[in-house]
Amino acid sequence: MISSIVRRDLILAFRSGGAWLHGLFFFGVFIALAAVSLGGSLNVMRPLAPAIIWLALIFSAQLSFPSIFQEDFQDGNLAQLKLAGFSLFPVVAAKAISFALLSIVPLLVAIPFASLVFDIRYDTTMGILTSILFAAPALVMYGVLSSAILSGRRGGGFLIVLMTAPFLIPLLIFGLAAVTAFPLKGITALEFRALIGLSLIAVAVGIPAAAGALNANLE
Amino acid sequence: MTALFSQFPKPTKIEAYALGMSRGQNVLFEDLSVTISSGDVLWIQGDNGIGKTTFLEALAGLSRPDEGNLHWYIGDSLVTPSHLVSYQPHRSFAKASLTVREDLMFWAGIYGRKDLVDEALDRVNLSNRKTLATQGLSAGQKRRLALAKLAVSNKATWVMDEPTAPMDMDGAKLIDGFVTQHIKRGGSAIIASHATPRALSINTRKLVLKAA
Repeated sequence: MISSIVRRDLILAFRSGGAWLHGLFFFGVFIALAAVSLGGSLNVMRPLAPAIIWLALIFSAQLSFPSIFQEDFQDGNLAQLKLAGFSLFPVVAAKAISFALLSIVPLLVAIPFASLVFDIRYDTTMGILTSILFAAPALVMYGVLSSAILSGRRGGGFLIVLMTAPFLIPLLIFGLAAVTAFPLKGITALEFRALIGLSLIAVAVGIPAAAGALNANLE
Repeated sequence: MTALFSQFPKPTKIEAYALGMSRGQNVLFEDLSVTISSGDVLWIQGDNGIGKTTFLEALAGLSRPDEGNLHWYIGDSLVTPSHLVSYQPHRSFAKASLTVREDLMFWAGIYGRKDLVDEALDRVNLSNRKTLATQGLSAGQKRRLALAKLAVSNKATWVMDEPTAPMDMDGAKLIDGFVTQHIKRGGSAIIASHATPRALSINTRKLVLKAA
């Protein structure tokens, strides 16, 4: 069931005329404008680059959060899935996987190119990629949970940005600390364990909580 | 008997007792009791906004009644509504950019009956539209696709909201044919409609909701 929902989401996204790439475009524009606003001096930009890339990723992900459950909720697909006799856990898991594939993976692919803009070192780029990879499950689950809570409500998009902000603060703190620690200690650095911890908690709490929120909103 | 309409092994029953539901401050109905067993067809009639859809959603287990009890049975055992009910809302839930066959195949996969897809499409006269995106279907054709979804769901109770509204004469006959066959295999149907109720089984009843 999870695989058929993910496959359908991918087909729908690829036939949507590129709507799934909006986050990626936003990411690119954010990076370009940040480079311009910092004056284009590599010596100024290089130390700031990890923070800018992390921010671009988080804002870009927040932009895609509201759409996770919106369409399926409004057109009745979620109600039908509930009626098909499954718990909503696999539905939430499937939506999390499709969101990760369609919104987070393109950003991961774009990060090496973004690091070219700022002329940062190879091991720092690897640090950024690894820290984001470890933080990605948490990022995805915050999006899934907030989208589930606000599904079926008008103007949810704005609230989602506010709701997820406090959860993103620890991710940012540990994520950027991990980038700094990576060139010295690799992924054995303590900060990576903190990111994995945040991700595990987010998945463990997020899936049942999102399923519960959807259930409540569907009634 | 075709695979699409295979016999249900056990009799089923939905019992609604003293249901009361409201929308905001507005009480839609109170103290409504009804039992729908295998072989029953229940027509629900009433003016727009009187609460037909709300009642159907409660019977399908999609919304919880404010008052009263609802129980779903297969044989003598109590089950959750999803084991028993397949719900056809008045609005199509087909995904616009999927083809007719892909959309039906997805739901058949969810119900675990992919083998029924081609037969179902054939029966609702959509086999020549298989590769068309569902956004290219007319309202009546979308209804035919929804009918095919009911059939592949293999659930014993069909809850249908205005199934005939956008349908042509052939389409209405098609629905009657489907419901009649569904009743014969031990199924039941609950149909909200403005059309004149037709006797689709020996136990055909009519429930009219009226404003107090």
